Amino acid sequence: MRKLPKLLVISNLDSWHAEAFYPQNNLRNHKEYWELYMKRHPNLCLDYNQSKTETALMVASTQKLVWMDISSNPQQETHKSGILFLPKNPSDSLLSTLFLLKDCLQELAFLELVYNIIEKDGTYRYQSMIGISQKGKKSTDVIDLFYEKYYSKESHPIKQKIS
Amino acid sequence: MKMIDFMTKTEYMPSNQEKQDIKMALILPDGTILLADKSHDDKPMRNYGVTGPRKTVEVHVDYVRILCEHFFRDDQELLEYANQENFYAVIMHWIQQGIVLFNNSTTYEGPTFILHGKHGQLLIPDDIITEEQIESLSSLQPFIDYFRDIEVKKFTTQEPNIHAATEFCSGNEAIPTYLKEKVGHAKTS
Repeated sequence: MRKLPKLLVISNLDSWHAEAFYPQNNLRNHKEYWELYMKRHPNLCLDYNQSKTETALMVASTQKLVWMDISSNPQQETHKSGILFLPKNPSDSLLSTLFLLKDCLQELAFLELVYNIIEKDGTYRYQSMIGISQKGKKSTDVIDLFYEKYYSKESHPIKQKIS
Repeated sequence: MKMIDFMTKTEYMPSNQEKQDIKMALILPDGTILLADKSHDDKPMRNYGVTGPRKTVEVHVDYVRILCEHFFRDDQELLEYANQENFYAVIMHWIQQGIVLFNNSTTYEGPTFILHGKHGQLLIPDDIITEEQIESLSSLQPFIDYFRDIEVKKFTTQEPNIHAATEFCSGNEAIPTYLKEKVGHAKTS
């Protein structure tokens, strides 16, 4: 399994702009990784009342794609789990990046793909598709399913480039 | 409705303190509740007849391994996921079997925890939940009242892939809100 970042944030407007935070022994939980991210982005403020998922939803709402490793045992090297949070209206270049990420994530045991994030009165709602690697299926198949469901195969130029 | 401590396989009679320290709970399709509180943390795994990479009960997957060994011994697929420490595959396997799940997902300790409280997840196989499970959900309420923030995930399991709709509620709102919505739907359909 390739070493996966604990957090990865990619801009929807410039998918070459990616910030990865790899596991560090001196950081105990996701909140401490998010603190590092917020230090680089003073326009954002970490709300300590929010869970790690809500923080990821908040960052995704600022036109970012967010990857978060949620493996239950931090020392675990195999059977890793994670969530990809998509911003609203993902750009073509971000969708291409999503397919590139698929290769990196192909050994994941569990992948949740979060989309249609709605923020109202300080709380969030979202929809998601879940993929599990089992019975010959790969967890990353949800990326294809998501694409097929929401983006036309024929009309979307990025799909043709990818395939 | 039966309430069983899945760590000891005995009837669960919690004190108020234990109600505040729930680790995980399952509501089976017949309405039986299997649950455990955090009083088992740091106890030897062998006390529960289970071996694993850690000698003591430390993380969620340790509880899951014991739960699987105690109540799902015939489900080889599930045991394999548990042995791989593949926590979310175990959870999704349960959801696909129509099991409702509550999970204490709080990871903070020390001052952060004291200031900001507990976080949890309520995972509901919405399209296949039974009347017995809906009745048992109310019995879970005293255990989750203390949570500051709960991620309520309603799953649809009949499509080729698993879909979920998620929203966040406080501990005292999560179950009443779901029940109100569910009963409302039942009345109109």
